[in-house]
Amino acid sequence: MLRVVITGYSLFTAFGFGREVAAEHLFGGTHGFKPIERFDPAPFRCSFGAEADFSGSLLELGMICAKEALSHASLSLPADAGIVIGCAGDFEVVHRFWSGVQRLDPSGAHLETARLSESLPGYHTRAIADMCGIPGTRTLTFNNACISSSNAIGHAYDLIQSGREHSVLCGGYSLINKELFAKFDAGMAFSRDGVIRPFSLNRSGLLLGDGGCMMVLEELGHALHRKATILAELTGWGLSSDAYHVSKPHPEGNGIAAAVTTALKRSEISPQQISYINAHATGSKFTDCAETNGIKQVFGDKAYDIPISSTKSMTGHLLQATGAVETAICLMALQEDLVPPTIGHEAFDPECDLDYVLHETRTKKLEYVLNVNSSFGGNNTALILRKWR
Amino acid sequence: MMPMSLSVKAQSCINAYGISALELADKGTAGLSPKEIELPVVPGFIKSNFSPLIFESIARLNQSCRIRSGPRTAMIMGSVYGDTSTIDLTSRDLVEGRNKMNPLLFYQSVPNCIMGFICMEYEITGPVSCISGLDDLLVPLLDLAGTMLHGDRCDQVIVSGICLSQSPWSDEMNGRPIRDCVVSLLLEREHGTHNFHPMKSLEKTIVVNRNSQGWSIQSRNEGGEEACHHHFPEFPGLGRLLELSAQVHQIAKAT
Repeated sequence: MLRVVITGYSLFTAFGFGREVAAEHLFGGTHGFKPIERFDPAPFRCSFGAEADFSGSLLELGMICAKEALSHASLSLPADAGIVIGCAGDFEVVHRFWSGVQRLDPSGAHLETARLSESLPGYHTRAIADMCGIPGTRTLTFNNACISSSNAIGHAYDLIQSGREHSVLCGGYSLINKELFAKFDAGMAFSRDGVIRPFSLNRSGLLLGDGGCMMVLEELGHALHRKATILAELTGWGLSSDAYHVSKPHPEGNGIAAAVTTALKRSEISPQQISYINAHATGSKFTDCAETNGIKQVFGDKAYDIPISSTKSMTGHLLQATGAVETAICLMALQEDLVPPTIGHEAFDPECDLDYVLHETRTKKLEYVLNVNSSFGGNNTALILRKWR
Repeated sequence: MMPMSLSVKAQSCINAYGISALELADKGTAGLSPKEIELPVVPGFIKSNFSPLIFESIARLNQSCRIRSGPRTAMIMGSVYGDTSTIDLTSRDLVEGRNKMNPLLFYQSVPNCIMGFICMEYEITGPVSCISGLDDLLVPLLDLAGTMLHGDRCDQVIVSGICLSQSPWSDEMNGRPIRDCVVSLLLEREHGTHNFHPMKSLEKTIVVNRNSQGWSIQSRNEGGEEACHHHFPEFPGLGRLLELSAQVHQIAKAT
């Protein structure tokens, strides 16, 4: 069976561009939440988010992430690779279109419509592919919200394992904008106190964050042949549905359990071999305990021995970028044998009673790590990485 | 490119002209006027035809070939422009200063939500994905379905392609007005080894074959392709899906 390895990646978070700056904050246990500056949050219940110092467009962010990932993997352009991206498209562009219509300003309308294509997720992948010299026939875009980029990584894994591609650039990215903010505010999803408190009894919701990660997946033989630096192995993944509710997770975490079980089966490992879990854990009332229950379903009593952390407590919820960024965090954890903490936890919740690595990074020998993500509609992914020796 | 074959077991097509995929393929849309599509109310989804279209399309699929519940059934939805009605409603709310939008618009703006609703309806717990494309959606939908089926991750995959009308920015990008349309297909592995007995079985089925050039449509026991002689620019991304849907409809009628 063909094996899939990671040979390069880029990382963008509220802390800026780069793997090092992210590691400094994530393993240092500091969060990126501050008052929103990109737009006026006054009309909304919440005014905080993990914004980065970035004023470019969403597509520009994607292009920067893609270039950096290829560079890190020592791949030059044109790249001989597929591209699979998780992206929602740029709602800002549609917003400005309607602003142009409202103003009935001909030159304004022209400016807004010229960039309308960027509202389409598929356009982002095509534009990035064009930049990389990759034909459109080797591209795919996922837009299933918070599992978009983990779905993208999983599909990239399938493409390589089935022999359809030897290399795939994959991942996702997202920026906080007013429209997204308004939607989450309408859904009363935001935390009430300016931070995220995953698994804490007094958790009150999520906060959004800027994020982006693209990574290069390669077939092992191909990577070895070109003497690429191998960072980790992606051993398997799973994708499932809760079939429970439009927006709430199954309370017993059935869908998460199914995705994790599939990932374990495809990785050909037992649950006991997982040494760290990066949880989806958004700090929402229902999701954190549902995920805890899902983990217990799979791991049984062993669940209490596995360190589990929610790095959203530091990065915020990155939406389409979440899966990819958190996979990259798992990769960094593997490389450093460091488990990032869950910060912001204040009070014990008896329904969330596992080891969430509270407040401080922990040193631990890691072998296999698991990244779990979930989205509305009960859609779940699980990705397993293995340390490369 | 590893060759693979899929069997198309059922199809449904709902469009703004109220005619079947077969009629669309046969006559095109010249001279036809779009009309209001009668759709069921889907609880929790409002003001946009997107989610009701997908829901009804899959319901009609189920009438001709039973959708199995459980982890071995997958769903993939694809669109070029997405739920433009909901996108426009929320954008216009903000532009016009209505910052407190209807929370139902938040949930339905996420395509996974209607997929989750359908999963509840049919108790589907298998893989579910939503994809976006710029061109014809047939290839990415079938590629993804083929990956799932031939990777033995499921036994049935429902693929749906959808487009929505009445959004000026998507009409502008499309170059002409878009009309409501959804096409859904139920796919299985060709020469599957499972015991599956649909409510109605097709003695002849459409097989689609994948090679390095892409997907080609082949009717089993007949050979060759039956070309669709119309293009459907008002249904962006759905042209070849309509063609395939028409062929399945034709076979079903003859059976």
